[in-house]
Amino acid sequence: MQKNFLTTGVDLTEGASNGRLLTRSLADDRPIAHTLIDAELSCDDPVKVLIYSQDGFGLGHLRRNLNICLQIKKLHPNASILIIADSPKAPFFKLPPQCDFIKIPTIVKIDTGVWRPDRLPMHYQELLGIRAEIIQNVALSFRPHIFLVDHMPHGALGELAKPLEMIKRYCPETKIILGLRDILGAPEVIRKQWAKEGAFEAAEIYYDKICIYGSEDLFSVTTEYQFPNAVAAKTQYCGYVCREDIKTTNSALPHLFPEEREKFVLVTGGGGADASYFMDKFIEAVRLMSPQATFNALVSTGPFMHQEQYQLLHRKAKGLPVVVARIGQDNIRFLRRADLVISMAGYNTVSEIMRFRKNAIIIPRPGPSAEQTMRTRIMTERGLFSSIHPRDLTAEKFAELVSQRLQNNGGMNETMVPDLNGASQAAKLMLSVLDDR
Amino acid sequence: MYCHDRFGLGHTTRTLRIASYLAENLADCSVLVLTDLSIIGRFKFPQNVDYVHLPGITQNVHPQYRAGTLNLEHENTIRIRRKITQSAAKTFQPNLFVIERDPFGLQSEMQRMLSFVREELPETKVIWGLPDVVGEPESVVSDWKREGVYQSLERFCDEIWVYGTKEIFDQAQEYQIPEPLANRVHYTGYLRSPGAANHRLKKDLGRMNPKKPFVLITAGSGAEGYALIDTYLRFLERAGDAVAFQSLIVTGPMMRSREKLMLKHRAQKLPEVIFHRFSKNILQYVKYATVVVCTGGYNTLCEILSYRKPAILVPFLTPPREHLLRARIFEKLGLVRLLYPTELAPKRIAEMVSTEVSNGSASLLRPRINIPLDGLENIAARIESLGGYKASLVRQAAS
Repeated sequence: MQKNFLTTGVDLTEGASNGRLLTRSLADDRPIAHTLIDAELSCDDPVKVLIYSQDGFGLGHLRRNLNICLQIKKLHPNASILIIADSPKAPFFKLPPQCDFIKIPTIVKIDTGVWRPDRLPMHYQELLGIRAEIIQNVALSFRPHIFLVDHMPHGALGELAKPLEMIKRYCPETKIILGLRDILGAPEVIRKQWAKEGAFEAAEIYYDKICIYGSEDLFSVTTEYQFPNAVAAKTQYCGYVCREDIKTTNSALPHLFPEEREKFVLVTGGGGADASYFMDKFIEAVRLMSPQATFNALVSTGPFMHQEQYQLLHRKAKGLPVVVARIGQDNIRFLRRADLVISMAGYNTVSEIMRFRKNAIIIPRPGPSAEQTMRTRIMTERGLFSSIHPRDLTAEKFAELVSQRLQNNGGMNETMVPDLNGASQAAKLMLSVLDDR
Repeated sequence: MYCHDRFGLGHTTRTLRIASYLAENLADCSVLVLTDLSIIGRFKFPQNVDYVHLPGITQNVHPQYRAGTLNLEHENTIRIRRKITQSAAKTFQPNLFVIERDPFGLQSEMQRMLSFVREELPETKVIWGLPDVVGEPESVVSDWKREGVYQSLERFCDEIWVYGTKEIFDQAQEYQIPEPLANRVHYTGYLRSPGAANHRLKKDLGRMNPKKPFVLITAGSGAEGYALIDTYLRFLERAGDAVAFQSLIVTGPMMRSREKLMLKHRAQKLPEVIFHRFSKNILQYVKYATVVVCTGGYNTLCEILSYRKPAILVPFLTPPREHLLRARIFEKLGLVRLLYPTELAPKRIAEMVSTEVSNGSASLLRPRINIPLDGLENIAARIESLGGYKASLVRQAAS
C-alpha cells in the first residue's frame, strides 16, 4: 500500500494585477498560437525547440545538447529551447537565455536497456507512465518546430513511443530529429537492443533526420549497427560536438599549487562516479615519480564522486604536487592550460581534447557498455592519444606513460583529427530541415 | 523589481523539509514535488522523494534579461506548466495534494489546477500550506478578496495548514476567513531544524577560531539582499581590526552576479570573513553562530527558534510585508531584535551586532510564550488521520 503526496513548491509570488489579467486571457482557453506554420521561417521568428536529453545520472548528454543549443541560438537568437531531462542535477550547466528545462522523475540505468526508478518506490512501468504523460503533454502544448531526441529513438524503455505518435498526429509540422553520438556501444549489443525494443522501427516511422555527432571515417554508425536502408538514408554525419565559441580570455586560473612547476597535468573523470579508481592509481604513480616530478597535477573529481572516495584521494595526495578538487563547469579552463590531460573516454572530454589538440592519456570506462573502450581503441589506433585499459593499469605503467607523454610533448596525429564543428553543423541541419517545409 | 519575485527560495526549501520528513517517517509514503525553482538541481533529495521541474516564468522583463525562461507568450508558458502539473497529478494519483505557496498571484493557474484535481481525482485531499504569517492583514485581505482566494479555498481545499500557531498569529481571524472555511484551518506549529551534517560547514568551521564568536549574515535567496550585506561590510571596513568577532556571509543564490562580485571583492580584503553565495545547508550554520543577522524569512526563523540564537532581523518591506510583520511579532515576544531597513546604517548595525555578541546567549529574553516546534510531527499525524481510510481505494484505482 502506497501513500502518495503531490506537493507544489512553486516559488513564484506574482503581482496581483498580472494574475488578474491572466484569468481573463485564459478564460477562453484558446489554443496556443503558433504562427510559423505557413510562414517562411526567418531569423526573427522565434523557433521553438524541444530536446529530450535523458540518461539517468550522466551529464554528458546535457553538455552535448547545450553545445548544440548555443549554436541554435547563434543562428536564431530568439529561439525558445525547452530541455526535458531527468538528471537530478539538471540543468547543471548554465542555460543560455530563453532556454529552460523540465525535469521528470528520475530512472537510473543498471545495464543496457535495464532501468529502475531512482527515488520513487514504484514499479518502473508506473513511473514510465508518469514520465510519458508529462513528455506528451509538454510536446503538445509547446508545439515545437523541432523535437530533438538524444540517442534513444523511442526513449528510455520505449517511453517516447506514445508521445511521438501524438506529435505526429497533432503537431504534424514538428520536425523530429534523432541525435546520435559517434559510438553507442558494441554493435551486437546495440543491434539486438534496438531490434528488440523497436528502435529501428521508431527511427524509420517518426524521424525526419538523424544527426550523427561523429565521423564516418572513424566509425560508421549505419554499417556497424546495420541500419535498415530507410533509416540509413536519413542519417548525416555532423562531426564531433564541442563548445565552439569559447571566449579566449586570459583570466588567471586560481592559484592551486604552492610552487610553480614546468608542466601542468589535468586528471578528469567526467561526472566522477566511477573515476576514483584511475585517479587513485595516478596519485600512486606520482608518488613513484616524486620528487623528480616536473609537474603540478589537478585531480578534478566531478560532482558525482562519493565523498568518502574524494576524501581518500585527498589524503593520498598529501605531500605530493597534486591538488584534488571538485570542479564543475570550469574544467575546460584547466583543460586548455594543461600540458597533459588524463581522463576517461567520455564523449565530451574526448571532443575537447581533440579540439584543443591536447596531449592525452585515456583510461576508458570498462563497462557495462563498450562505448568507451571502442572509442579509445579507434582513436588510439589513429594516433590521437595514448591509452591504457583499466585492467592493465598499474602505478608503474602509469608513471612511465606520463613521463613519456610529457617528454615528447603532444603527438596528436593532426591528419586524423575528425571534424569538430558538430554543434554548428547539427544546428544548421536542423534549422534547414525547417526551411524544407 | 517585479522580476525579483520569481527569485525566491523559501517555498521550495520548506516543501523539501516537509517532504523529507514525511518520506522518512511515514510508512510507504512517496512524495513528488513540483517546483519551478531554477537551482533545484543543487538540492539533495532523500529516498522516496523525487521532483518535476516546471518551466519558470518572468513577466514584464525584456526578453534579453530572461535567462532561464522561454521566449513565449506568458499564457503559453502557463499552459505548459499546467499540462505538466495535470499529467503528474493524473498519473501519480496522490492521496494528498499540498499546495505550498501564497494563494495570490497566478491565481488562475492554481484555480485550474485545483479544479482539475477535484474533477479527476475526487479521492485526493487538497491542502493549502501557509507560513505562520502571509503579510499584513490589510493588504492580504484586499488581495484575497480581489483575487477570489476565499472562493477558491472554499471550493477546492479540504484543509488549510498554517505552519505557525494561533496564539502567535490567528490567521483565520486576521485574514477574515469566513466561518465554515475557518474550521478547516489547522495550526501545525513551527518546523524544527532537521540539523543534518554538512561537509562544507565543517570545513568553514575549521577555518574559524572556535574561541571567537561568529556572526552569520544571511540574505535569504539574495535577490534583495544587497543593501544588508553592503551595510554590514561597510561597518566591518570602518571598524578595521577592532572587530571582536568573525563573520560568515551568505548572499543567497539569487543575488545578481555583479552585486555578488562587488561584495565578494570587498569581503576578501577583510580579515576573518568567510563569504559564500550559496550553501544548500545554509540554515544549519545557524546552529554554530553566536548571533544571526537575517531578513526574517520563515525558514531562517525556524532555525533561530530551534537553536535559541540571538538574532537581528532586517526585514524586506515589499508588500504584503510578510517579513516585517513576522519580525514585529517576534520582537514583541522578545525573541529577536528588529532593525528597520530604513534605519539600516553601518553605525546602527555595528551597535546592535556588538551588543548581541557581547551579551551572547544572555541577551535572550525569556519568551512570553512557548513556541511549539513540532510542526513536522503534527503534519505527519494529520496526514495519518486524513489519509488512512482512503488510501487503499486510490491505489486500487491506479493499479
